[in-house]
Amino acid sequence: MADTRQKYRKIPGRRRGFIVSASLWTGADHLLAVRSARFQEQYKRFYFRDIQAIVITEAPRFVLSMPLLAAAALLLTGVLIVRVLLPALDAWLWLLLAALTAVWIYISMAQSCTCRLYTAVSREDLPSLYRRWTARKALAELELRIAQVQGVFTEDWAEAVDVRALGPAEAASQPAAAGFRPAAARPRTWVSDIFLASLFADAGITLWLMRAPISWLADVSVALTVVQIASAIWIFVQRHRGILRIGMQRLAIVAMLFIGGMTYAQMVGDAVSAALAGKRGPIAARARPRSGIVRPIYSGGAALLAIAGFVLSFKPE
Amino acid sequence: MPVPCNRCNRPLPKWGLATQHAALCPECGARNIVRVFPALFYAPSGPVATESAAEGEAACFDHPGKRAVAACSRCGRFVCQLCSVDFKGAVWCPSCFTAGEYQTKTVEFENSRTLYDSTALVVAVAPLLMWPFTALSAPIALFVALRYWNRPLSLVRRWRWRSALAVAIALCEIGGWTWGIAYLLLKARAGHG
Repeated sequence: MADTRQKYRKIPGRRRGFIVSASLWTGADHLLAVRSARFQEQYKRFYFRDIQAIVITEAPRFVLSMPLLAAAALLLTGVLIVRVLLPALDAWLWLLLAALTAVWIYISMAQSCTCRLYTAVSREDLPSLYRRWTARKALAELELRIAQVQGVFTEDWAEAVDVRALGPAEAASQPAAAGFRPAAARPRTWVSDIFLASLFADAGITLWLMRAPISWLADVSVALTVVQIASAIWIFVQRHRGILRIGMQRLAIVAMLFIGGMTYAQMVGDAVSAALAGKRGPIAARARPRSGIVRPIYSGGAALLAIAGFVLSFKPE
Repeated sequence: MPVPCNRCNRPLPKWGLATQHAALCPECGARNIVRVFPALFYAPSGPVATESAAEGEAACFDHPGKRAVAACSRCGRFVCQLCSVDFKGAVWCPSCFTAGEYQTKTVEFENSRTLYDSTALVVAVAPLLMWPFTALSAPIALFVALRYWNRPLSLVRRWRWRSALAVAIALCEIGGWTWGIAYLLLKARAGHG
């Protein structure tokens, strides 16, 4: 497709989730709402001439964005490194971490908002505007652009607003469109059942292996990990097709991160053990956690994830 | 309906809206900043009026009883007021417009795009969590990045750094595997020797 690129200018505010992100851009004559799901972007255009109202409401929003998570991970890593190298600073770093957490809670509770835009035929939540300061900046920019197209009120509109219908008539009694996907998704499918069953089984087998190391049972555990990865990928596909609810996809992501993290933790643990034992040469990479420390964490984590998935499967909409 | 509160959907009081600063919701107590624009007071447009064609007058292709007002700029069919689609300075008939011909010329009607650059990057990076999978994913990431290099990016992005990074990571992964296999082969040969 020929790319006759329009010039878009970014409006303040962006929401970056682990998978989904949202942002607002202004074009020559319209506002472009972009929602990205990593592999695909969806667009909605709101022409400046059609925008009837914008409402920003102060509300608590506990949003865990990717930059925030990355900063938290970096900070925690720093804390762990400093804890080993400079133990005297340990308490101060934990204090700093606690203070930053308190700041985040304060901002989420007292400095957050929801933003909604109305046209004659739609009302749309703008997820990228969830902090008050960015919402105010965005509103100032949008007001200017809309005023250039529509002009400004010459008399008091608050009196007249009672007799006019804001937004679509049928929307008054319905919640605003929270996303682009229709809400016909199911809480569980046979793929998610397999995924959860394999997690449960893996947790049980790992627990059993702690008591009695049986080689064929360890192989079964490896096979279950492969099943988990395959079913997680299929859960993403089902979510993309709108069959499955987003909760199960999130659980699959967390499970994949957990399994991957455990694998690397095992590798690092092996390397440290080998270094302490004075061994040289390459460390054998293991597909499964086998050490005494990682195994109970893995078993407990897998069981918790499976229980969370079980709850999600039977949670009403 | 007057302006509703975002939290509880109850109408905000007029006296609150008149302040222009913040309207306090009497139901849930949330503070609302409301900006209303003149579009709210535009009169709704009525149905499109089409005139009946008189004897001997040119008639619409799809509505033979209606008078033609223009000809489609692509296929030349006569269209009535109802059927004429005025787009980018030309008149289109509904068939040509919906046939998607216009899509090759404009991005105004695009409502989604596949992000091949992000796909390539995710395929290159995500399997690092379970590194043995990179043997399979690295060539796939390289293929996706190079095969779709010239495809349009997002409507709002400018740079192809994701594709470039995906290629770099995929090449590193392929290089790592090649080195590992060569190392093992040489070691095995040395063992035999």
